[in-house]
Amino acid sequence: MIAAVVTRAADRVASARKWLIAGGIVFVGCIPLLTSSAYIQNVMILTFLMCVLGLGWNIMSGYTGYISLGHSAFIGIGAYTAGILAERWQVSPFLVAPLGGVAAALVAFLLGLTTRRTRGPAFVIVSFALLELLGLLARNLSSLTGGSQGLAMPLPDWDLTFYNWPFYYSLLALVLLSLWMTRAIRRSKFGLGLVAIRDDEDKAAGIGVLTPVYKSLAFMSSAVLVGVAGAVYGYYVSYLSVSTMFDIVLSMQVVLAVLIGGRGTFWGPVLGAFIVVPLTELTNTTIGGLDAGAFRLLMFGGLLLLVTMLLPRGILPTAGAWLTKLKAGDTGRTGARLVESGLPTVPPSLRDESAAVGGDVLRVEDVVMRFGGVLAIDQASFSVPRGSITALIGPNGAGKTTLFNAIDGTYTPAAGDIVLEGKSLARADRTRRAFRGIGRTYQLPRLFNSLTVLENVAAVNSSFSVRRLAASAVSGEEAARATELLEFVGLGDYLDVKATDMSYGQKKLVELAQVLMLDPAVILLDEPAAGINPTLLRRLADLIRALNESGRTFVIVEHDMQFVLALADRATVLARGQVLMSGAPDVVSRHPKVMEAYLGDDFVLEKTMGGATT
Amino acid sequence: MKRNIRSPFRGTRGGAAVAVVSLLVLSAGCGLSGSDPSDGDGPIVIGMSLPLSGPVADRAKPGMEGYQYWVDELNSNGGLLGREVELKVLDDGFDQQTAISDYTRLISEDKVDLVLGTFSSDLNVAVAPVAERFGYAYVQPSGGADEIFERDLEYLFFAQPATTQKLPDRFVELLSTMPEAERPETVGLVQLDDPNTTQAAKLFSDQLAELGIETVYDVTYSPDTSNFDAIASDIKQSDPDLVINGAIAVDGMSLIRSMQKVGFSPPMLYQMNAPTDPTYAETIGEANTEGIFTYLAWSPEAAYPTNDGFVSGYTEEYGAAPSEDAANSYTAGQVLAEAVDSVGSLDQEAIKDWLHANSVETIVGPLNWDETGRPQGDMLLGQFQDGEIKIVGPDSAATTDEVIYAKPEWQ
Repeated sequence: MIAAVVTRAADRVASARKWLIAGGIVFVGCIPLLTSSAYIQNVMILTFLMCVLGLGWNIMSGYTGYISLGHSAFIGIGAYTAGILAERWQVSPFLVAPLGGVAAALVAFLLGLTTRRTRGPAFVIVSFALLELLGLLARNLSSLTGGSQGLAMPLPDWDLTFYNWPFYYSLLALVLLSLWMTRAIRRSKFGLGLVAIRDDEDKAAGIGVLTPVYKSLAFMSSAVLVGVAGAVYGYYVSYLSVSTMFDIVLSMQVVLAVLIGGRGTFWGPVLGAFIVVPLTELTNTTIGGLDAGAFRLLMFGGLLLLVTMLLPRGILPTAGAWLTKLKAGDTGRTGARLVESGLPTVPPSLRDESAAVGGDVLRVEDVVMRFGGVLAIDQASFSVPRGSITALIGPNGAGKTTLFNAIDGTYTPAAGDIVLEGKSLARADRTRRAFRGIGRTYQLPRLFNSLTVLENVAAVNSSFSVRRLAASAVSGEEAARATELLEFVGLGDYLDVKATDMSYGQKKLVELAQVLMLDPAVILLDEPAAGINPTLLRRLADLIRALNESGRTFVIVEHDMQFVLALADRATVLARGQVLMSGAPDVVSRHPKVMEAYLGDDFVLEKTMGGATT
Repeated sequence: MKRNIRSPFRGTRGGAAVAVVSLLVLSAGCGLSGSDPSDGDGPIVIGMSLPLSGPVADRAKPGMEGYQYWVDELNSNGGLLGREVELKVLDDGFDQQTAISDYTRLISEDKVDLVLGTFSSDLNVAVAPVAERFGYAYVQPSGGADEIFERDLEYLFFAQPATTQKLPDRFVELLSTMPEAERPETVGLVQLDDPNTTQAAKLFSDQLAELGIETVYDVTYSPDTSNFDAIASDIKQSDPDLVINGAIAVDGMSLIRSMQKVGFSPPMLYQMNAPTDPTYAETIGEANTEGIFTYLAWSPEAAYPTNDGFVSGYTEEYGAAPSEDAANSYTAGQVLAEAVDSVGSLDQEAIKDWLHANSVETIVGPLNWDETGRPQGDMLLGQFQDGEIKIVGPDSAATTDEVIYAKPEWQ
């Protein structure tokens, strides 16, 4: 009953919101009819341009996390492409504007390639350099672009009354198109992957997000409409000069606009554009005289300072947080005690086992890893039999995690080979290894902090397909599977909780569910028992055992010997980068060399069960 | 089991609302402004947007003072059409888009009675079409690059004696009158990357080639070049008889200092713009100015009526002699005032038609225009002689018969 009321209220808010948006669009669409002032239309045109630029920037820098300080480069490319083609073919620049978008997307694709090597601050510099470089190119290819003389576009010849209309409505259409595209992206599995890349790119690569493809697509969609808008804008200005089209100030303004509105939010860029552009106009036209420039610099500098200090997340997220706080009442369940209960049925593996050959799923063959002069792994070899739980033990610094990193493709071994299902993984990168069947967890769980628990699991891909990119982010078959797996690990009540709000132990369970979603041939667990409470530890042991019984193969790195040796049916001991020995747990644990190197003389393996006996 | 959950991107529920509300506020705010001062006996408002901040601020300031001096003088003589005149000046920060916005606002929102032009080819090329679109007569004080006039605008008028297209004429003519044996055989071209200077360099190169003078060095440097040592030593390597430097201001002086440093003194040196800068002689050394050629759109010495009064009046008001930029603004003002006075109203079309049909007496001599707004006058050719720029051509305006053909070595 109460729930129904709440739902109805939520429906009302949603429909009010819908009407408000529709009303806003209609109103903006009517402005040229309401006022004949070319100036107001001019301000709106510039605002629309900033909206398109901001929405594009938001896809690359807001969602994907690659901060661009040179986004106006795409305006320049679009404008020059359309300008040159319109002149060559003697057609209206409007006709060739889409080609400006195509050119911008191509350049964005090339920019995307640089992200294989550059991230974070390095990428900021690359994006800035791109703007400068393209500006330089436009300046020097004077036979094509007119160089410093600029390129004159034809002057529009339609009536003054309707003069701005084509520019106004085509840019408005581009704003709506950008919004639609942003909405489509953020609702798709593709968008989920982009946020995963922003939060933790290496981890994303490890759970089957084909990061180069995702980034290329994101960069291209971030640039394509900006390129078209640039072409329209160039025609509006009617004259292309390098300093206006490859404008560094505009590149900075768009960053300011999106930061004010809210980076990574849907309406943030629009709100920011509607604040920054009119404000710029206001200061340009009201502050006159010889010191106007200095005043304006002070104002915008001050504004940027205020935003970074008071609203580091932007207006929308901050306002959203206040609203949530006002509503309050909703206490989290994250601290709730884990109830000991029987395990649900194990979700069966959906893996196609036809490729399975031989008894060993995974073989590590003479792997050597060097870091400078340090020999971290020294010709290590061991194999993981199908359906086994193999413990990988050894003292700290023995090279266990390093070996995991060599297996999953984080590191490239200096020598040796990793063989999965009889085939070498040497030439497969991380994502392809995930597709082939390597799944792992981390010593410190790595989740995507801005995603919910369910999204964290739904973001996993066990193969790549274009159709899947467009698939809805968290509904349908895959969401059902993710939900099933989360219920299995005991987190069925936490689907909509943000990953950051989960406890340390719960994060480990989410990560386990992620690996199960990937459904790999072999599951690598890196210290699953470290730092979690005894109840959870018993639960974990039960889960692993149940999963193993359903046919899944595990390799576990662990220091809790009671836990791991009770679970394992094989153990490999690593010391100083070398495999000391492999064999059955009780044999290994009693071997003098192992006792000496690692376990100590007084170690006695208890045969009860994994976990501390309290 | 189907389940839809919260998207990670979701900002806030109120996001759309905030955006739309701010939009409404904005539009309402815009609608409130915009009174209409064009009628009645109030002052005549003349709008303009100048690059008062940004890279060319130093040159826009005297430009604005030239306008201001013109208005003060006009008002003390009874104003225009019997009405007081006032200026509405905006700052575009040397940004094309801002300049376009500013003029659009001045015309369509502030509804100014008249406009006057801004500075530089870069800005005028973008602004002139705006004035054209609204049908406002647009007299620009600077911006001689030819592409501005190639667009066949009807309302555009350039208030200098000639465009860049005619900039080389007097100097090339001078060279052609030299005995062939003394004429330079090679030329080195060094110019700033700017529509005006690069175009002039191209014209020089072509026209000198017709005289048989070969271009042995040609380089365009970017506006942020501050050290010219490398360029100077390259010029020294190619050792031209004549160096033509398409400078804007300080860059020209830096180039000379670098040439002094590497020990290269061209037998003939022609520089654009820099020599008319008030600090020129002091910077390169007064003795070193001897024999350097430059073009002048205006000279304080020129004996045109009103010129003398402008120079002395301006000097009195601002405590320094007017720069060429100030003179250019003043000229633009003269042109507009003359047209309005003759037409007897603020009818833009009539003003435009009048300017196309008549000639205006200004401080740079009589000005008249072809149908594209190109002035039909002539640039002056100047040369430093005894520390002063003397006019050596055309003969009608010359202040001296002497021409120094061989520039002395640097001192």
